[in-house]
Amino acid sequence: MAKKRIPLSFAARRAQAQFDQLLRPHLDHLYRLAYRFTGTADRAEDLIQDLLVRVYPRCDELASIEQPRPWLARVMYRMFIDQVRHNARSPHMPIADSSLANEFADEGDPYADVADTAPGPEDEVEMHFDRERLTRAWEQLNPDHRALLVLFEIEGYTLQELEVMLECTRGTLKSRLSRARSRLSELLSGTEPSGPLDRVKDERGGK
Amino acid sequence: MMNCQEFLAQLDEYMTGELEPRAVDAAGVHLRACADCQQRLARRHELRASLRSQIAPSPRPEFFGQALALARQSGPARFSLWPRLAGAALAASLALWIGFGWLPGTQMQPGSGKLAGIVIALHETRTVQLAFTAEQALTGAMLHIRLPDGVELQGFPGQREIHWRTDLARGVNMLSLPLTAVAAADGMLRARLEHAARSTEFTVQLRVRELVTNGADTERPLRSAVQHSSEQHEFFKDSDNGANHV
Repeated sequence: MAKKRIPLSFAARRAQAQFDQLLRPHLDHLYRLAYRFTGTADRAEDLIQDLLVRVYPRCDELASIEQPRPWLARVMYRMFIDQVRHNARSPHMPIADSSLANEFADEGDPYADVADTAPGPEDEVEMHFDRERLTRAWEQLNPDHRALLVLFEIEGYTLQELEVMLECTRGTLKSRLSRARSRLSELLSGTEPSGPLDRVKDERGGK
Repeated sequence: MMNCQEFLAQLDEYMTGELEPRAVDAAGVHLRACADCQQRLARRHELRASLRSQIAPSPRPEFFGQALALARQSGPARFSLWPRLAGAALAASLALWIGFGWLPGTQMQPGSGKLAGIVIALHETRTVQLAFTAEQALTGAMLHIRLPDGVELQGFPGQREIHWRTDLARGVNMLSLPLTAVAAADGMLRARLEHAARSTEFTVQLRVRELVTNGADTERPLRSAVQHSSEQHEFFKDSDNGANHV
């Protein structure tokens, strides 16, 4: 016997219609972010699907937000980082960049104590931007560094927006960006991580 | 004068345009004098351009539709009939904001008496916000919406009349009605709220604007935009006498 279909309440039906209306304008942007975070179409689709499932019960909140896009990007970034942390702790999930396990070894912000005074190695190391090398280095970059560079360098979120999105101070944010660029430049130049962040030749600032 | 260390400490802000004008000037002075920092800046721009040149493909054409549908089936949405008032959202939709309701010992709040009616372009969706003011919380009020031909409420295709039971909080309750114009129309949207033996009704003119072949808009003349029904006046007469306060 066929199940009797229970009519949806007005609120539920409107929720469904408005959910689509609220999300649609942002899906292209979010998918692009997800693809760049994860590196493959399959994982990008999984991340978007997880995001939508997470956000659907909160569409009331979403409807009251003036700028939904950074809010959605932030939720997705947090989900992505949580997945990365989870995978980093799992013995069955190998990760590309070996520096990742150390970075997520502690619960707290791995960059919280890094002072933001010295320029990073990325300011000195010659970068080689031929496409193949860049693609290879990009794929080897740990997911957290990649996500940061996606948000800042590619998508052009400002420091102010990222402070809110990542819930960290300006100094911490800049240190994290500097480390991400350093790591990328190391991978590009084929060198391994080097010493302290003291690469300005004229440290005393003679100019 | 700014040195290299100071310039590099502000390089992120310099690139994103988040420096104060005075700091921008100081950075410019340093840059003109320092070939090393010119190179550093050039490398940062080069890095940015290279990263941005990486292609992010589009998803499968059917993916978004499938993903949205799956999410909708994932569980109940906490999308209350009366979403929280959002300052910005409210301001953005102020032109379509219509207020009415029951207030203690006062005359009816006529909403925006000068409202010029609502014009929707064909196939466009506009959200009309109805504001209901209740002097105290109401349980089990009935809300009836009647739409003119040619206009549909999202989620209720083809339905001219929609009714549902709802609770109202004390104070202002906002109801968003996403309306889509599906055919040429000129008629009245009626919203009627009933509780116990009392009711109040609000009518707003809705007009669908069509584009004619020469590209000019064609609009029919407006009737009076906002009208209150007789029930409403009667109700407020009662209310003024101190009886039947909601």
